[in-house]
Amino acid sequence: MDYKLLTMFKLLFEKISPKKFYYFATSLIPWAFLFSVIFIGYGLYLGLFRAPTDYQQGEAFRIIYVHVPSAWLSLFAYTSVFICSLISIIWKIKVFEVLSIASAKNGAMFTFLALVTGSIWGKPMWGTWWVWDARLTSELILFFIYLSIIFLYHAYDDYRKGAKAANILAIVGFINIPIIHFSVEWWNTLHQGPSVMKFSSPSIASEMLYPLIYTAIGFTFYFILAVLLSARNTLLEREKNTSWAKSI
Amino acid sequence: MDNHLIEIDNISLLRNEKSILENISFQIKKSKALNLYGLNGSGKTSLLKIIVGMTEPTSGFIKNVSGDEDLFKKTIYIGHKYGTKGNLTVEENLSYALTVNSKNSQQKIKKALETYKMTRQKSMLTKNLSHGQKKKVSLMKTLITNSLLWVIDEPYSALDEESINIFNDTTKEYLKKGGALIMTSHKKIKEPFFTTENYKVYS
Amino acid sequence: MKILNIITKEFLLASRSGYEIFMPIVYFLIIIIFFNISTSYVEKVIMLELLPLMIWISCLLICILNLETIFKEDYDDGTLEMFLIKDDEIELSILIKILSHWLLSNLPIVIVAPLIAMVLGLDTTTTLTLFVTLLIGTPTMSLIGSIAAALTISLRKNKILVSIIVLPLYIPILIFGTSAVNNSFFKMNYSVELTLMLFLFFIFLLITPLACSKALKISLD
Repeated sequence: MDYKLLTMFKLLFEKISPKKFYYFATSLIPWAFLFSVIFIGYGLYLGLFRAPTDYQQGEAFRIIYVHVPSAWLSLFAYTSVFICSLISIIWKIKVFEVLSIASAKNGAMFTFLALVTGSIWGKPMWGTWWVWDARLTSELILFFIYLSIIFLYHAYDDYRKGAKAANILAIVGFINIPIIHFSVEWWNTLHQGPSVMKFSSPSIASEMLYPLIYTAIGFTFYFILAVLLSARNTLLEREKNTSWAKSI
Repeated sequence: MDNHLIEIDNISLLRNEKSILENISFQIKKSKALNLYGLNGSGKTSLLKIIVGMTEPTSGFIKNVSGDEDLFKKTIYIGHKYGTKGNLTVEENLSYALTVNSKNSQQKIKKALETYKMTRQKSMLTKNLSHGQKKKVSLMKTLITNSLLWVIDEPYSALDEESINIFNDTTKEYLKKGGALIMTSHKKIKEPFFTTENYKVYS
Repeated sequence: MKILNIITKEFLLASRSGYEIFMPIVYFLIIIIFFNISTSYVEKVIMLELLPLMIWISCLLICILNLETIFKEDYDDGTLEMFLIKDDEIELSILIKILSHWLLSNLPIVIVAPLIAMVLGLDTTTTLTLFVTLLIGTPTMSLIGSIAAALTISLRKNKILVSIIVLPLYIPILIFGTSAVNNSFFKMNYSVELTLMLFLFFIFLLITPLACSKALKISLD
C-alpha cells in the first residue's frame, strides 16, 4: 500500500485512545440499545404474528427469524474481527485489540445460536438434530475458528500478547473462510446430493422477508451494543490506574 | 557523538498494565562496556530484549546511530537460554553458529576453543557438558563471529573464576578493537577489568 | 548454501535423537490396528471402501501430532531467539525449517501409508492416488500447522490448543484428499481435487512464511 496512506491512517488511528473510545462508546451505547430493541421487537412481532404460515413447514419455519440473523451476524462479526485485527497488527492500537476480542466472543455466541436454531429447525425435516448439511457444517467450522481465537487469547498470561497472537490467527482464518466455504459446498453437492433445505429461496414472500430484514438489522445493532459494552468495560478495567479512569 | 552506536530513548514497558521499565534512557558507545545492574526482576532481561528488538517497548525508541544499518544483524545476543544444541558437539555448535554469519573458518573455532580451554571437549555432545561449560560454549560464539555489539545476559553466572577472567580478557581485547558490550549482572562491577559504565535498573 | 546447511543440521540432529524418527510410524500403525479391530464387524467390501479414507485420517492425525516438534527444540534451547534477531531472511529459513521437518517426520508416513494400504488389500491405482494426495496434502498441513505451532510455542499446555487451531484450517485439505481417494476407488476422475490441493499448497506456501515469522516474534516477545 501507499506509504503516505499508511501514515495517514496511523495518524488517524493513533488518536483513538482508550479514553476517547470510552466516551465515544458511552455516547453510542444508548442509541445502539434503542435501535436494537425497536428493530428486533418490530421484526419479531411481524415475523411471529403477522407473517403467513408456511404451507410446507407450518409454524416451525418461524425460527428463521432468529436463525438467519444469527447466521448473518456470525459472518458480520468475523469481518469485524478481521478488520480490527488488521488495524491492531499494522498500527498496534490498543483499542482495536480489545475490540477484536470482544467481536470474536460475541461472534462465537451468534454462531452458536445459529447452530442451535438451525438444528432445531432441521429436526422436523431431517428426523435428527444434526445432518452434515453444507451451511450447518460451514457454520460449525466457523464456530471452531472463533473458539480457537478465543482460546488462544486466553492461553496467554499477557493479554496484549494474547490479543496479538489471536489477531494473527484471525487474519489467517479470514483468508481461509472462503476456501472452507467453497470446499464444504463442493463436498456437499458432490457427495450428498443437493441440500435438503434451501435457506434462501428467491421466491420468499415479502411478508416473510421484511421481518427477516428488520430482525437482521436489530441483531446487528445488538452486536454493536454488546461489543461496545464489553470493550468499554475491558478498557476501563485495564486502565484503572490512569487518571482518566479514576475520574469516572 | 561519533562513538555512539545505539541511543535508548525514554523506554517504558508495561506488562498487563504493570510497569516493568519506566523512562529509561542511555547510550551504548563504541569501545565501552555497559553493565546493567539491578535486583532480580528489575527488568534487566526485558531491557536487553528491547535493545535487540525482540520485545517492543510500550513507549520510547531504540535509535541506531552507528551509521551501519545492519548493526542488529551484526549483534551477538546470549540470553538466559544459551542457544547451544544438546545433540551437537561443541565444535559443531560453533561451526553452525558461523554459517549464520558466513565466512567459515576452522581457524577461528580452534582459537576460540583454545582461549576457553575447551579443546579437550570439542567432540563431546553439548548435552553431556556441565552448566558452566555450556555457558562457555555460548560465550565462545562471541569470538568466532565478527560482531559490532555483544549483548549478554548475566555473562558471569555459572562461570568459575578462571573463565570469568578469560571472558574479561577477551572483552578487553574486543573493546580495544572498537566493539561494544552490554551486559547485565546483579551487582556493580567494581574492579576496572575494562572500561565499564554501570547503569542501575529500577523497577 | 544456507538451505543445505539448515537441512543437514536438522538431519544430523534427527540422526542423533535415537528412535524418535520412528515414533510417528509406530503411532500410525497403532491407529490402523485399533481402527481395523474395532471395525472388524463391518462387511469386508465396505471395509475396503473405508480403508483409504481411514488411512488419510490417520495421516492427518499424525501430522497434527508432529506439529509441536517444528519449533519446540529450537525454542527450548534458545537458538530460535538468536535466529530471529540475527537472520536476515527469516521467512526463507522458516520455510526450510518446515521443509526439513516434513522430510523427517511426515515423509516416512507418506511412504509407509500406501504400503500398509496395499498389504491390507487396496488396489494399485487407489494406492497410487493415496500416495499422491498425501504427497501434496501433508506438506500443506505442515505449512498451516507451523503457524499454529508458532502461535502456541511459548504456552505450556499447547497440545489440544494446536489441534483446535488447526482443525478448521485442515478441513479443505481433508475434503479434497479423501474425495480424490474415494473417486479413484470408484474409478472416477479426480483431477479437479488434485488441482485444488495444489492450489491450496501454493496459497499456504505464500502465506505461511509471513504469518509464521510474525507469530514467532509475538511468541518470543
